Amino acid sequence: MNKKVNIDAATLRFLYIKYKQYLLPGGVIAACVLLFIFVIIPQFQNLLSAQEEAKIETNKLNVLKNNLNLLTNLDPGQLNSQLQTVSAVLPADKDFAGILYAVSAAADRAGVSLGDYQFQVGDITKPETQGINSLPYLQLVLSINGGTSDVTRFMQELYKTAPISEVTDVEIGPAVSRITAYFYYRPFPPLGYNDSTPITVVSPEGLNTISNLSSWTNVNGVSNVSNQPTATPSPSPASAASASPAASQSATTPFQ
Amino acid sequence: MNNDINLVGNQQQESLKEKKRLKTVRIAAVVSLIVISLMSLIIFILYSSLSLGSIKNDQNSTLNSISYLHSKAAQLAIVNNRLVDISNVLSKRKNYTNSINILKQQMPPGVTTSQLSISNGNVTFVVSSQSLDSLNTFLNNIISLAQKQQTIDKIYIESLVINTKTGSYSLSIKASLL
Repeated sequence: MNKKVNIDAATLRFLYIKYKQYLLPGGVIAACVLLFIFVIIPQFQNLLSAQEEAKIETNKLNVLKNNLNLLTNLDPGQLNSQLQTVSAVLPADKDFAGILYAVSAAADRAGVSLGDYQFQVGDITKPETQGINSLPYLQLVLSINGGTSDVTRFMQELYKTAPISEVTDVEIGPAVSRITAYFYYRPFPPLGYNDSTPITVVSPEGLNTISNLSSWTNVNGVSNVSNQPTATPSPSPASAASASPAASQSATTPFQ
Repeated sequence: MNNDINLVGNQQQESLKEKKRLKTVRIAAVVSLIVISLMSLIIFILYSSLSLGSIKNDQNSTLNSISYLHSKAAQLAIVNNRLVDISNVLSKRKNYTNSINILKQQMPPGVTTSQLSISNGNVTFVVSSQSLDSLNTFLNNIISLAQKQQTIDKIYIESLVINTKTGSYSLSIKASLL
């Protein structure tokens, strides 16, 4: 036999009277549960995210403060000198005059005389030639009036002259020798400066390198040569060497 | 009289149970309220302690100060960038001076270099002497170098020429530079 449940106003009224005392506390409990699920838990998750964000922003602030501190304490004179040194050793562009002066100065210090020379720029429509570490370079082939000793002395002096170079080919004869040298340069890269990136000062190894480079010829406008190279008033490219600020007149010229 | 039938006693027990149940529910409601309130308060306090706004303000003021030093930063970046390239070139560039000097040291008296060529890591040289013994000594010296894996490797004798007019011998050798 099916039991019939009669729900009508009288039944509801009866139930209300019977359980009305439970309505308020039950409602409060239900509200608290709903608050916990829909408010407290999301707020707690937001709090965790905010804490994470605060940690990230605090780290960023610390980096910025360190950067500011570093930059403030940098000696502008020393920095400028370092920049001049490295720019002289590795120029930003093809420095034909600097190269000619370097060759002239190295020859003068080595006590050798130079013959003809030839810049080999290559096909300007093709990408620039690239040497060590993809550095672009200018190739120079030059003649030296001398033998093995003269060439080795010249190469030693050239390796201590700016711009930085590398001898790749050597042909030594009894009286005349030829060497091929690469003179490296590097255009200034696009500096994507980001304030949030930690700034690093020049490392001790870098300072050591700069200190060594400072003694090179043709760095910081110092010639470090015993006799100044000559300025021969001719339309030949050798006269470009005379455009260097350290050039002056003398009786002999390395370029014959 | 049957003592099992006692409707008044049952009603009292039911009433007590009802009151106890109601009390429990009321206590649960109060506790829930207190817990929710406490949790809300704790979350509020933790939020306040974060002070994200002040961190952002500090960042902005620091960035403003750094903006006056951008030229220094750029100079420093260029110096560091160039030092990397310069150091790489200094460490990797070929230095034939040492190799040539070492080869010269292997020449006994009477042996001269008439020609020396270095290209693509290979060295070709022609030495001359009036004495075959001297050339032999020189050859042994450079073979010894190659065996010790010093300076050169893979020696090839290209030619040995005698100049009957001058009586001198010319030895042409090709080797790989290490």
